Amino acid sequence: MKIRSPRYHRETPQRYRLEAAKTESGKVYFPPRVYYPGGEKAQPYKMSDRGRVITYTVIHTPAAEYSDLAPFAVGIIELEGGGRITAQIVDVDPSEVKTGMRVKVEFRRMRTEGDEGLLCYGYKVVPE
Amino acid sequence: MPDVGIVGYGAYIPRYRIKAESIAATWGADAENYKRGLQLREKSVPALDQDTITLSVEAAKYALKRAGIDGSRIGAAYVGSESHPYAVKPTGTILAEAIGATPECHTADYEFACKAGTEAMYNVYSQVKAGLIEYGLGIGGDTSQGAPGDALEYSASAGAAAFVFGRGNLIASVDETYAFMTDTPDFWRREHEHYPQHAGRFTGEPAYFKHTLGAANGIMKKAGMTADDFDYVVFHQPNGKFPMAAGKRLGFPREKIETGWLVPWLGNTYSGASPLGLTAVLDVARPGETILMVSFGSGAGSDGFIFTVQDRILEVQELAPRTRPQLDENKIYLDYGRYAKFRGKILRNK
Amino acid sequence: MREVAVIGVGIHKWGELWDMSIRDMFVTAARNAMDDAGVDHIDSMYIGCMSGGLFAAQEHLASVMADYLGVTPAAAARVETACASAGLAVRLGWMEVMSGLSDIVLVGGVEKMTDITGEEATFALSTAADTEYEGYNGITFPGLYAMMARAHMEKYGTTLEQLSQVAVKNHANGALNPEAQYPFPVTLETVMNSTMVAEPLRLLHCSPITDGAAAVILCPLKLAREKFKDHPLVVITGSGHATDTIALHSREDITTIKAARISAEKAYKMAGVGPADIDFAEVHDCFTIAEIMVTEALGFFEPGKGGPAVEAGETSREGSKPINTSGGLKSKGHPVGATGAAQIIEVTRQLRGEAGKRQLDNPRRGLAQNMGGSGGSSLVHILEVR
Repeated sequence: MKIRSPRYHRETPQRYRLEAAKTESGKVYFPPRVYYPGGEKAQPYKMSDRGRVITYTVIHTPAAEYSDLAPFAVGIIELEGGGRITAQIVDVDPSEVKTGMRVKVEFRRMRTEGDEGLLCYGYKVVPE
Repeated sequence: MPDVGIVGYGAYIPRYRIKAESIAATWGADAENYKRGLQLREKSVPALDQDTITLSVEAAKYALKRAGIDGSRIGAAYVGSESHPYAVKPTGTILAEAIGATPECHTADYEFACKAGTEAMYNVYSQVKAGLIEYGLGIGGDTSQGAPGDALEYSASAGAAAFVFGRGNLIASVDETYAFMTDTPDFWRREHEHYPQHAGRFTGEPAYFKHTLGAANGIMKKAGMTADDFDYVVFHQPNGKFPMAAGKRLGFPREKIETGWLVPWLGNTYSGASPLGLTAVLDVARPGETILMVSFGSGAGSDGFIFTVQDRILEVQELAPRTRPQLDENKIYLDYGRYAKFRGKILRNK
Repeated sequence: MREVAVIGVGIHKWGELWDMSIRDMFVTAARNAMDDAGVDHIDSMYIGCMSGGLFAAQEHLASVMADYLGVTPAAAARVETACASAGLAVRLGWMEVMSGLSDIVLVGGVEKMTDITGEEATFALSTAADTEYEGYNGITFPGLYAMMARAHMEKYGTTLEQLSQVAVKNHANGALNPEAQYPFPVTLETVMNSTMVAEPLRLLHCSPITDGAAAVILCPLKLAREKFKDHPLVVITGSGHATDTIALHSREDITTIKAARISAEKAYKMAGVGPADIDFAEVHDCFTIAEIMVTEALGFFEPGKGGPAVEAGETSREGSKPINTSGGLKSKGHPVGATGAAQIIEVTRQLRGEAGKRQLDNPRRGLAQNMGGSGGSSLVHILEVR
């Protein structure tokens, strides 16, 4: 299903700049929320562009929009200073990806909505 | 001493490469012709998820890191490229959003074949000098295309270089600028066409050399300097041969050209070509050294800059990845089949 | 509050049903359930369906199904909690009967998954994860469970052989289930050499794309005792429902499925039993790692012991805790919105002694666990024969 402008546009602070929120108790929420559990107050927090792989897989049968990329690694990344993201691990042979590997966030094109639609950008990670 | 100049710079080169042999083998050509004759050994290839915007954003982040400023302080961000991902919709806004420069930021996308990057630098520098903005970003980046089997396929590559211009706290002052151009139809791409057309050997003497030499001589005369006054010179580098020939004709010894001569291993990054040559020079330059930079863009024209490297260069060189290591290390080689897929050269079902 | 009995079950042969529409399948299962119960009307119904819109371009299933089932103006609702949609339908129907609001309630589910391409189905299923922060980044459902599998393997030493043995066991069970999509046994070698889907999970570690429906008729136990005496009486004695974060990356521990544990604890408490009191269970083996993690979350095995338990044969039909005698999602098929109701059907049939060649030896109490997404929701029901 194609991503249209409104849906794409409202996520750009998170996708482009990893804008999150940090509560008084130090928990990082990505994306920021309307309400934080326990009624905690939170401040805008820009997540680090460095982290490590908590777990990962290599996708061989993706959804149609990602089929050109297969096989590609995707992992859960714990960022320095808090916050976790699910992100593709690129510029590396998927067989070389390991749990615990250090990675760095890069700005990448995530998908293209056909020949005529939006170009959609966001974050992926590369080995540091 | 001029107080306006470069306060930060960044280079970004994709990891993927293809060797001249892989291209030549596909088309039944002799790779040695390209390797020896044009000094094109291999070239960078953008990953499937990279384009001019993503390369420019990464280069810009490195430049901001070296400048030591937040993206919100960028008052203008100009991106020069002949491969802006959208036909209509700015590259600059996406870049500005990604580095946190919006909304108080002027953006513009430039196109002037391989000269668009220095145009961006030229105009950002002018705005800072005029006092309209505190800091600005001038970026040259491309994921350039050469038609399958064409000579350009051995050179058209990908990369971006970004420069933060500002007043004070410089790493390199801009001592002089100069522009030289005529209407010369040596190379073009019509709207809706995938690949550029070029006028063969006409791209040499009447185009590249006339404008490159014209701008180099013009700026040196304007500044009252000669080739002997420079430690480094960076030219546009569509292949390995042209910049060396231009340097020789201007009286520059080979060693003053080589530091910024990346094309044999990088290919021609079009709008990024002379800017990446400059980042490679800044990576190793010492305070007090002088740099002449002359771009070239088909159509045709050249921009010239004279820089003097400042003390602060030593503090920033290590703050972000240098150019040469990105070129020499961590390479992933593609065969022609994967390269053709990466570059969208395979006819497929929608 | 009234005790609630299962008085009718209805299903049909699942698979790639090119000639059956979403309407045809649900109505077939629902009529079978009504016939099994011996009811000629229903007061209301709940239809589980994950995505009538993305899979079959049909929403408003409440009216579609009431109409084609010929039960208008009976109340009807389509309910959704991804792959646990039918489990939720069962719970809502159980609540309605228990509360005294209705007497005869049909609960079930349906999914028509083969009217779109495999890649489109992969996308549709991925919307059960966090679309913007998981799906956008290219992760698929096999991918999410593959990441859980890797974490479980690295933490507990769970092996690929153990993951594969779940498939071997479930196919052995499914081979005895004539309604299963893939009613044939598979060897360990076949599973371990099948096509890679999301490392380390291969095709035969994954449940298939399936068209299918299932339906169950509920009524008050008292009414069942009076009017519906054709089958042994099966009673829902416990129901538990829990949620967790939508995104896997938001969970503190991805080697356990917290929603499954909490939904089970609620159901155990209501039924007044514990894991040891459960004779057998149908659990949500959308991927073989899920069966291992769920059997741990249900308290059948200690954390990390789910894999060795499969290897030791404890979860086979002859083992101490038979799991997925129907063939599970793996062999029986996984029409996502229908699965939770089919689990109730298998538990009911086992308790009634109507499970044919795969019948267990006189079980008295069974459990059904149905899961949505990567564990973002879970429903557990405990059924007993009276």
